[in-house]
Amino acid sequence: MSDIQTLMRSANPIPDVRSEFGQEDLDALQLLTQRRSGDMDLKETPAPVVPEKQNRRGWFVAAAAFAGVLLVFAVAALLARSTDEAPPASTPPTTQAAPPTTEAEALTATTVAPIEEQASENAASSTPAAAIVGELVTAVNEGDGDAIRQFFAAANSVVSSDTPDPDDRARETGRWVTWSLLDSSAEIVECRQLSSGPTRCEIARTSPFDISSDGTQVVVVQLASSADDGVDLMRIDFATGAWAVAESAFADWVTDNRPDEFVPMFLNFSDPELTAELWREIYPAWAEAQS
Amino acid sequence: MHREARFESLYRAHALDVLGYCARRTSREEAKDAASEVFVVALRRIDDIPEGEGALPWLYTVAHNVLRNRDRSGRRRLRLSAKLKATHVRSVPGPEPQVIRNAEHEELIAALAKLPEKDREVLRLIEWEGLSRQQVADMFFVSRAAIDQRISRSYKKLARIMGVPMSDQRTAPVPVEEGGEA
Repeated sequence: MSDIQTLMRSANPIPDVRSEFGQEDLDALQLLTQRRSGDMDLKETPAPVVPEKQNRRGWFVAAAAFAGVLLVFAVAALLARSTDEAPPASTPPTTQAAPPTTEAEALTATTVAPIEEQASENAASSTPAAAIVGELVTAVNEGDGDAIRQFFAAANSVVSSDTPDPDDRARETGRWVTWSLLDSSAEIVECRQLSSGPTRCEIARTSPFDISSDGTQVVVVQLASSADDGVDLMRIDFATGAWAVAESAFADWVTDNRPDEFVPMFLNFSDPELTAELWREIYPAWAEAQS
Repeated sequence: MHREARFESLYRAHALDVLGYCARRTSREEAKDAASEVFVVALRRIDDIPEGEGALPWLYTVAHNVLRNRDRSGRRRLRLSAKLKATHVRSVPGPEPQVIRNAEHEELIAALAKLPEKDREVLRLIEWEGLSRQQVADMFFVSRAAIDQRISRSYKKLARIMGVPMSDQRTAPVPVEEGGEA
């Protein structure tokens, strides 16, 4: 063992956890965990599809409800038009939504096709939010990319409108990435990191989507890149807000090396173009530093 | 196994480890709070937690993310505040200085802080948390050989930062032990 390894080992701030923390600490920790977990279901049976009551998921439920409303209106508009005009059977379905107001929405608008059956089911649901979340789960499980895109398009239109909180923004960014990965069967996907705008990323590995009825989403992605031995790991857990390792490494580097640019980059999240410009300026320096 | 029973078993087995992990990276009180967050996530994701020795690295990964989020939020707040005051933005000192025992350790901790995040974390997981190299490799989704290389490289960087000469023996790649464990 080298000297420096010995030194590293001896510099352990808490060499013996057992002497540092006692049963009292563990009891306090357990109590805190139980209080936080609240009414979490620990039974063997799967939890019913109901919206969580936790505040951090409030936006998710709101987005789901908004998506439901959008879908209902879309179907209503389509039905009304088909009654009036009776278009030929060969006419492809179209969704005529409002012009995209966000970058995310713009991207989606080009790829989203209407899911009329789902919308009809939504309309019939007595609890739209729960139904939409439930349908999202189904859509994911069945690999229905169109339905998933439609959900995220609606969610983004809501969340993008006003997200001053950087953590919310982070979750939103994560959502963009997730959303971009809907076609992750391909080896190349379009990633969106830190509002940088579209970036072509080669995927080395992805996990399956994991969306549970309570809105939890986890995506694990290994992106091939020039940084860090050619592999980055991106992990996004929407339920906890934990997101990204690749972005974190970059953000940390900026924090330490380009502090003057860090603040405006995050201050100007509401200005995607400025953010992207800053990002484009800084990223090459970061990549070079990592190589 | 019943989910509740599994969680209790997991908690009994690893609560101290997770608490220790957090306490090595933040203050004592903050550590309890963060560890609690980790177990709330574990409770919700109990079915996703690997059985056996994969469980602890899984919990450490969650703890890592929880601490990062907390750290980032804190730093952002400080940076925004600093920007408003038009003062130079400085990094928030990490928790380690609070527990420095001597100047040598202080020097090492300072050097450690200059390593890239992943290098730093790998060294801490191996040397402080006592994880095997294979467990760390699994955590980072890389091969055992890649982790060996990273450890070797990280020690070289650390030595360079501290101005400590390293012999050939020190810089040689760490051999893969039988069974893939360190």
